[in-house]
Amino acid sequence: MTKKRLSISGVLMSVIAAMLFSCNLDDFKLNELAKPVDIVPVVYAPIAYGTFRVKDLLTVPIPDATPIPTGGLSLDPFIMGKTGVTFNSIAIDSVYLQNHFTNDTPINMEFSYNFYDGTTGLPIGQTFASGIIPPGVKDTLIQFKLGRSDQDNLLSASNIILRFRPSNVGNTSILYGKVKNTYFSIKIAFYAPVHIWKLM
Amino acid sequence: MKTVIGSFTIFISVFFLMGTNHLYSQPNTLYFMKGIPQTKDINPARPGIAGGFYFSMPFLSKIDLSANTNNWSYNDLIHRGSFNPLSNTLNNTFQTSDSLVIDIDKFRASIDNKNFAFESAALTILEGGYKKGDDFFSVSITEREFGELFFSRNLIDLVKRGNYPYLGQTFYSGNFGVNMQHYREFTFNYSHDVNKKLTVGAAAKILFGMGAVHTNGMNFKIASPAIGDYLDVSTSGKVNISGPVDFGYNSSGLISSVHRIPNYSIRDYLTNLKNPGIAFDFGVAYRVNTKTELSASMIDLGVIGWKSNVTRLTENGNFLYRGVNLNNPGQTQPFQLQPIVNALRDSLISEFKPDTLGSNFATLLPTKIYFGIDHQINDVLSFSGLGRVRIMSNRVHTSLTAAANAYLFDALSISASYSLMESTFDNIGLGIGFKIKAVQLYAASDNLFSPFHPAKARNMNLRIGINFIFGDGTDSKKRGSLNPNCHCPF
Repeated sequence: MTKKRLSISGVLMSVIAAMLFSCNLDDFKLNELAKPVDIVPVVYAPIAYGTFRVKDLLTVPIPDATPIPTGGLSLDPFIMGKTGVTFNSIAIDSVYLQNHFTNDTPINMEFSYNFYDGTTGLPIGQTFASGIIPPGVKDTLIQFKLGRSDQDNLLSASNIILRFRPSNVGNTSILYGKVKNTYFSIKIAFYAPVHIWKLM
Repeated sequence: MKTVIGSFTIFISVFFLMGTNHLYSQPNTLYFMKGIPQTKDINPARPGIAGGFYFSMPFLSKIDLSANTNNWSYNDLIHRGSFNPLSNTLNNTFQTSDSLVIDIDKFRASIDNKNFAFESAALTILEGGYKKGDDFFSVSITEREFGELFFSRNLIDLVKRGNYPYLGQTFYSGNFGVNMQHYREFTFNYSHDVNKKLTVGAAAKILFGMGAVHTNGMNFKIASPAIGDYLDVSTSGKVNISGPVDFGYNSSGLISSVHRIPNYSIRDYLTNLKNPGIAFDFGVAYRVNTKTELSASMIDLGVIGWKSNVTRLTENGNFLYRGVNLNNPGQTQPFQLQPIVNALRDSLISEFKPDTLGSNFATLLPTKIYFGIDHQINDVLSFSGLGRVRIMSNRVHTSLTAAANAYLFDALSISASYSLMESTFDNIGLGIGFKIKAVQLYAASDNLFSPFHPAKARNMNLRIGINFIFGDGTDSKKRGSLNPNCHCPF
């Protein structure tokens, strides 16, 4: 009887112990982790903002009685030197440049971006133009997509140039004096899907 | 005797050949097992022996291992991929059924708003005790460690979605962080049979902390208007660290490196007595009638004061980020972005740089409260129920266990259990102990099946131990009936 008890106990405990350790650890072999993994957070950040009077962006004064030219008025551009700053990542295929524009002037407004080579002084790649923004528009969203080649152009550029151009509404001509103290504003931000797997 | 050694050898061999790293536990199933002295670890008023003395196998007295989550598993995050030719073409992926994939969608669907992963391990170096008359004494030395990772679903959402979808909202990360402690425990246990119905017990524990990481209230929030013209980022929280590490700081005052304290050996670590603590266990068992017993206990009500090699980091920052102000570039055109970016970086570092202190801190142990009922059906069989409340990091975790307990052949104690634990419902447990002459082996787990597939497990635990019991007399049914408070086999 005693031997039977002991045998039962021994066998039972051994079987249970063996069962406990017969575990499947295959899924912990992280060297079998597939790439890519589908984690693509979208990162957003403001870049710049500003509110301007038309006259703020004219270094050469214009008489108030001067009509706004048919082709529009060329304001002084913003030239942003990006030496030492890199806007590029292998994890980002596309960057979306968001511009919220408010036009409180009585005339149409346009803006555009160009990337420039500082050495040659020549533009690199395409111009990103807003098109006509009518007067009275508040925080309208104008978005540019920067694909891979645009990002490469930005990487090689030394300057980013932002231009604003006021222009007449339709065939009516308006005098500079009516426009010079009116405001427009821009809020620039970007968002970009980040492919985490490309960083791994 | 040969059979004893044979069974013993097989068991120990299997145990070590398969590897202790596969074990997990602090099982509720142990609570009602008969004739196991270590039931007093869960309720000091239930010492498990009727008389005599016992000691445990030195360095293998008992091993406790456990891991559990709030109902999510490793496989919810990482699992074998399923081959999908269409999606592979579209996404240029290489997932096959053979490869592992990180599945954040499945993981997100599996977790709650607040989540945790908890693990603990304990190794009792030596333990011994005796029961004489109405009194039971025991002492033990145990190395313990536990760790907890906690995070909110919001944090996973941010990793998955980024901050862009939260424009026009305020994103709250919820509290996140880790708590880890390693300490040595000297336990003095005493219980007393007040009368034939009532037994009370208590344990005093002197603790010596070896190392700790304690996160308190770490969180951040990001607010932005719908058109996203600014990001308002706020952070707060504390991290307390005691361990043989030094932090290196860069010129901005940020931690730039972590390295081991020079000439601080493992021996220095293990013999560190500068972090004292104290804890208590309390227990009571009341026999309502000859067949039914009610019991309750509070385990690990204690604190450790951390004084050696302490670093305390306090974070409390706020930053309103709008980007570059084109109205005031600060210099003539063309204005350079790099100084602006550098200034922005410096502002961020300054605002979010944690304050560093070297003052002492204290941590609480994860306190457990048990409520039990045990009803004896006959000399062999009893049914029992147990409720456990675990309090950790200001959060309460509950579990309920129902068990059937049997004592067979005057040697074999078996408990089969079913538990509801942390919202998991598939916990079928087993406790088994046998005593051959003076040698007793026992093991208990609340989830018998989780070790087969640890990647799918949500609760895993196991306690295993070896005792040498002398003069207990628990193999006698008569003995049990003479000692209604013994909580041993009848």
